[in-house]
Amino acid sequence: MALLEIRNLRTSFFTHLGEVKAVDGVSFQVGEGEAVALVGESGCGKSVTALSIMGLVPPPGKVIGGEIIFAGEDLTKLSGPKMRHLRGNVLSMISQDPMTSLNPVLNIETQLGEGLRLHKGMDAKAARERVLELLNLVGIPEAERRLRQYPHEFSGGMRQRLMIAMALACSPKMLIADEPTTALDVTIQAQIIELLKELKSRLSSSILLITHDMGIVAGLCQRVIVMYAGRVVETGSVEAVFDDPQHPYTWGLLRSLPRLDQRKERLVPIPGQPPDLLASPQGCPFAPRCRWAMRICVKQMPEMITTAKGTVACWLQELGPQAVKRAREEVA
Amino acid sequence: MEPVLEVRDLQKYFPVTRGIRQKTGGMLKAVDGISFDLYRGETLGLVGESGCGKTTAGRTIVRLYEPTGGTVRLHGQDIFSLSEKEMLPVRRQIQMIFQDPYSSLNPRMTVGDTITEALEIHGLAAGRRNERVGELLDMVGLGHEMAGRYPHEFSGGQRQRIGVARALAVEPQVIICDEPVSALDVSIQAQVINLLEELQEKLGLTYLFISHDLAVVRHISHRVAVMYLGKLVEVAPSDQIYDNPLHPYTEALMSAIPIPDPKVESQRQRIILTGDVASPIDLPPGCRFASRCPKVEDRCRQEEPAMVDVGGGHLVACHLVG
Repeated sequence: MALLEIRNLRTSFFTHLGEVKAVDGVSFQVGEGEAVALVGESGCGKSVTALSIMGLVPPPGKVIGGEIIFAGEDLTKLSGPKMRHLRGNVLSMISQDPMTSLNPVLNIETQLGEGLRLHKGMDAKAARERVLELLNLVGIPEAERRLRQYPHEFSGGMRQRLMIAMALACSPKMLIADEPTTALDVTIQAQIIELLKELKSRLSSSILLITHDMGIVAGLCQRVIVMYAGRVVETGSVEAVFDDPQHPYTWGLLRSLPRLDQRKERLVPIPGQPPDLLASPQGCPFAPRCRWAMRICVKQMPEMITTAKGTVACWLQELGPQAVKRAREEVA
Repeated sequence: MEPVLEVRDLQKYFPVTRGIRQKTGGMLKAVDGISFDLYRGETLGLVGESGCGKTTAGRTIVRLYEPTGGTVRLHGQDIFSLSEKEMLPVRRQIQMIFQDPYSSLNPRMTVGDTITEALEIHGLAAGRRNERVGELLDMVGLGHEMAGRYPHEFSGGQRQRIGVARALAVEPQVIICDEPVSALDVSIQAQVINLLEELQEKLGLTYLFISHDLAVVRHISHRVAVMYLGKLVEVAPSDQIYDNPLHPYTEALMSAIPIPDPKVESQRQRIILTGDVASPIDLPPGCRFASRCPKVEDRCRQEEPAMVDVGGGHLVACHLVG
């Protein structure tokens, strides 16, 4: 059984302009010990999905439908105190910005030990021991001396390590990492990714990695979920999605990327822009940007169907795998 | 071939003030002696991590910052010795495109007014300015009918196109592009990259393309210059810098960039750097990369390596090379 199962999740923001459907019927699973990537561009709903799982959607946002089953319990139905008991304990999150996510007036020992005292009932001494262990685990040198320091005394990469250490403090079953390296330089990013890989194999936690960087996905994850305009458009194993993408958005995204190891004459961009989530379209949200769009695409939202290697929501599938392949290989 | 722009030993230091009395406590050497040439119709990529001085270098070249030292020659003319008034025709020849398409446009001016302002300052297209604005907007793929709109009506990618149109308005030869696609989503990023490439071919433009994204730089640049803590460490044709990086920093940088292909990723060896980045305020003697370099030797900590030409336009500043 999956550790996390999301069924038809809907989260909306009720703004003065109207309802923004940030997450509009999203379903997926994350297995035990599995690293799954949630990818898509800004505004596609990937971060809101993460916040919905954590029960941290800020107002005027609200989870308005669906189920989030974590270890057999529906998180959307849990009370505040019960959710607080899970958060930071068995379910934890690393957020995007290491600069603003740490409390500047608490030293490292107090800050990292808070969860341990609260969730695990450790006394000050035991918590201190565990914090030291965590600092070593995430590769912060001179841990003993660092315990008394404050966040401003750490560099960006080091702060992100602190965030990871804090998230791992109670050995969570699941770690949600929301763009954990976006704010960092590439050489520091490489260190953090190595660290996540190592932790995954050592602690066998599940990871839900939220990112727009397909390169990181390729190096770290086993499965990919592609989101567009608040919906899941494709899922599959990393190999399947990168080698044999089924949705025009997925292959468009991969084709528009410049690659360090290849020389491309011209990039093939996806024309147009992501849709306005205030006015959700009747049909497939990608249809206005899709050069293979058919009449039905603008009229009716395609159902998620299971293919040989994953799932996809696209009307092209009705024409058979050969037609999909031909469409994909047709270069603009 | 004569270079369009010659940068020699460019320096820009910022005084560091500390405490309530703003006492000067040393100099932050953001750009500390960089030299390169820019040839007509080429794109030179300037890459490096945050804080390495690449943006400062770009801004100092166009004198948005007053230089601390060095010279910049445009067609042989030293532009650092010119008065503000004499700079005006120079500014027409070198333009800039900025990183943030949200803060680099005046929200109270229509797109047409923003572009017209540039034409007015330089006294261009007199009598047919509206027509010229329309042409420019068509050229960047927005359409002339957009002239009456305000910046908030556009998305990030479209705003970056407005920035390009504004830069092109004065018919420059050199454009300094400072992270022009970093704030954009990947699918939109490719649109702007293609636009810059097409315009270069059509108008014979020369670009200094500043970016931290090596994959983008490799794609768009003919040559690449790698910067670390205020100095250039390696300059080479872009295929060379990927196939045969010589400086240990370039090597580490290349290996750190994830490639969107699981088969390639599973085969890759990463060079993970350890150690802290040296502070640009109290620079150590010797090579600036020594504190993080996996191949460091004793002399690296004492003597600063000079830039040497290893042939084929490939320059590198490292004691272990050459």
